[in-house]
Amino acid sequence: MTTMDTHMELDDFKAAWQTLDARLARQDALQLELLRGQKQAQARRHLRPLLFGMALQALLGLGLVLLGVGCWRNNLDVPGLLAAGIALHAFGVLHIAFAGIVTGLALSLDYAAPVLSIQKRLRLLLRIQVLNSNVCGAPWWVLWVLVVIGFAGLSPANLPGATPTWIWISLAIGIAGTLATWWWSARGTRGPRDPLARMDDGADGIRRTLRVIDDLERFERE
Amino acid sequence: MQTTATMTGDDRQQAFAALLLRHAGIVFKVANTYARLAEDRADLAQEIAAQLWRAWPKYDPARSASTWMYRVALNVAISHVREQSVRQRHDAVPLDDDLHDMADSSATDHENENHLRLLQAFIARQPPLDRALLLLYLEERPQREIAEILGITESNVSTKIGRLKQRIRDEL
Repeated sequence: MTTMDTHMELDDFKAAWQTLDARLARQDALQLELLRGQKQAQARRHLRPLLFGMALQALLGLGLVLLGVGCWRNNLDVPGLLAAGIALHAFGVLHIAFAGIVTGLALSLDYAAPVLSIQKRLRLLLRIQVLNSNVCGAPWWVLWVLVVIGFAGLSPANLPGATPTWIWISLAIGIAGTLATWWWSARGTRGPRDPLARMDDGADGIRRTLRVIDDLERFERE
Repeated sequence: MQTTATMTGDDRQQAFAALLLRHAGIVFKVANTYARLAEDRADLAQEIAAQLWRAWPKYDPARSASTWMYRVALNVAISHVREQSVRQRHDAVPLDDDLHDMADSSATDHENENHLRLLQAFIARQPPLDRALLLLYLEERPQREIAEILGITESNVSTKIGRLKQRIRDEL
């Protein structure tokens, strides 16, 4: 293809486009079949997994709030359990808030809006999703330990006196894991051209987000 | 604002079917511009039709149907391209196979055929938003309508078309 030496102008493309147009028109009768049926069922196909995920996240958040409140209210005089309860409460609120924001943005997408404004809206949605995964997803390295502590804190009478060693070890591993996940995620945001960013496909969602942002910003700038 | 939401269920469905039939070309041209494989094109055309149906209750019949359809179709197509991140990397490959599929056996105009191949390859290399601009330009939509569809100013449309022409001269 690149070896062709045909010199073309944009207006020459119009003639070629008319050829393509004529070919597509001849296929219209067949293609019209494609547009029949399953319209409503398909309309929210792409949105459904996201909305389902966000509903689960909100429910999880509600569970964390209930557990957190139960834990800190029962242990106002035990600093460790009080802190764990407050942390669970705070993370629960964050889970619910992010689920609400993402759901609200996704549901308010109006595809009949001008292309650039809807693409900006999608860019915002993608950015918030990345933030959501970093704020509500990565800390689960630690959160599961807090959940165990939270359940233990609901019946403080049965607790051992000193904090068990496994909890300290798990917290240390969890904090290291969270930091490593954030670093990995930040490495992915360096962009598709960064050799490190191409090392795995785990950060593909982030790279895809960056392509959206890069493309949009370039189009607005030029 | 008078919208199709005020129609009864049957009327609304019939009006939508008639509009879709009248402007089906927009759906297929957008699908053809943004999807490389026949299977993807079919999926994308269906997805566009589905989103048009979803947006239909808010459609104001006093406004241009083609502008409304282009907006929905392009927004869906651009999102579709971005979801297909792996395939997108291969989009830079010329669309030879598809052209063979679509070729008219009676076509003898080799120059036109070459132009068509170059056009397809050039479209495939463009980022999604530039593809939208190129499609609307090739469809000879007025600059005012292009501006309205894309959400940019008319002077910006003019500047971008100028740059697009330059890019074609540089690349082809």
